[in-house]
Amino acid sequence: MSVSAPPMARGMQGQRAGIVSRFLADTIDLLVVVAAVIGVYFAVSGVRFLVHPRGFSWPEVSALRLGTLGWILLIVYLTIGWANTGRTWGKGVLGLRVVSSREAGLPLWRAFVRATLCALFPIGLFWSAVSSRNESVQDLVVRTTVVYDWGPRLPRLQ
Amino acid sequence: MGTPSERPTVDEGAVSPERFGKVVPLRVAAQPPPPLEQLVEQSFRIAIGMTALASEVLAEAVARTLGREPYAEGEAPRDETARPATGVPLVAGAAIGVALEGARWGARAATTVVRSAELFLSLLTSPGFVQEPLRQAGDRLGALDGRWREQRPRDEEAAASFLRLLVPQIVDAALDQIDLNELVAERIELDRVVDRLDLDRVIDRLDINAIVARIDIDRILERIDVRALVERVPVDEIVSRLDLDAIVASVDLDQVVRRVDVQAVADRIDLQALVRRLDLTAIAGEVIEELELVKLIQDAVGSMTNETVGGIRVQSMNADRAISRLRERLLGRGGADDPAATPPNAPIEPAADGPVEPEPRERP
Repeated sequence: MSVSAPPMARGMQGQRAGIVSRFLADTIDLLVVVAAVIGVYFAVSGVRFLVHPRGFSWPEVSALRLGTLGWILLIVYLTIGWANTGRTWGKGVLGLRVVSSREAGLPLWRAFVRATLCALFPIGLFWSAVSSRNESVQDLVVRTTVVYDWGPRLPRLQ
Repeated sequence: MGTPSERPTVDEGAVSPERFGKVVPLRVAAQPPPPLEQLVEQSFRIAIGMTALASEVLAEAVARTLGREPYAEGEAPRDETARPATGVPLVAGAAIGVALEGARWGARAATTVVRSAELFLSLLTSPGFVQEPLRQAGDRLGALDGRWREQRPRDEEAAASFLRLLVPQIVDAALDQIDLNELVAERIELDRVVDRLDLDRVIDRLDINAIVARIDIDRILERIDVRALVERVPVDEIVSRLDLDAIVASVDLDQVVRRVDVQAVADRIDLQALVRRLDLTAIAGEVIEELELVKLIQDAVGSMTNETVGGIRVQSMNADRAISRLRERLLGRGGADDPAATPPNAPIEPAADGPVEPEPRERP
């Protein structure tokens, strides 16, 4: 997503993002995953209707299964986003990017580990509100950083 | 019996209705037979007149056989009484006058002789020996008269049959010799005839409905070549003469629209059939292609999204900076490791102009 940046925002490019931007981006990602779970539910229902039109009934799924499905989808979604461009759709909206401390992007295994940690311990995000370097628990474990990046290319880490 | 000038003639008696004065008789009794001298005189007049007419017609016919008109064109026939006759006509006229007068005096003399003879005969027939033969002779004559009266209807019927056969042939022969059209044109003033016609009365007597009912309209319409009829109408010329602006201006469109039952018109429209006949896909494609709708939507959504997202990003950046400053104050640290180098009192303003891409920078 390419958005015009005002002069003051231009100076913030590459700096570590704060808790508010990161919380909003993660909220959007969570909504995306919830929408994906709902989509999967309706897709399964549609397949069932096509297979058994007469005996069709809405599938009854337990909250545990739905939660498990959502948790798996969240890990997959975050892993693919971070390993590919360093940003999920929520981070793209807020103009954020997850970068490695030493490399331009995240390798797949580090993206998967970070996504798993985020899914298991989402409250670790709020450590960035306390950390003077705006680092969450996951950033400390996987050694990643979330920066402002409105452009399509990677900014220089500051 | 008076002088000839005092006696009324047959002509005068026939044409003078004034002889009865102003009193109209209910029934006129049978006229007594005219005197013999008047009969003789009238007979002579008729004979002389017919002879004169016959001679004139004969002379005219002879002139036509010679290939010339008896009178020059535009010249009226001669008026015999307009100028005094001379020569042979004068002598002939005098002879006719003498004959007429002689006939009149002869008739008077004959009348006197007849009346004297009647008196003498009455004296002769008064004795009885004379009466009987006379009576027998009268009876014989009466029988003969009765036989004639008895046969008279058959004789008249035979004569009528003969005339019924003869008259048509004579009339046909006469009509063959006469040009009736020319005769009517010469003899009849058609203007006077038409003036005397009461056309309104004639029209009143016509049963127009009955006449129209007898007309086979369908057969007439079948024989009419409407296409040829329409092709003969100079439509362009008629249209060019029409002042359509004036016609339209004279129409009260509001009243016309008020009288139109729009609901009924809409009910009669088969919208389904109409829509089925439309190639909506092609039309929509053409419209979209014409409007460049996709590009329009992309531009609009992109512009709106960019503005919205830009605002959210700037607001979240300001919030991040505010929380960061609050954190540093609470922890009692300076701004050395503040990730935002911008002073706390310098908020980031949203973009006001076109898109400005951040300068690409490669990470070390």
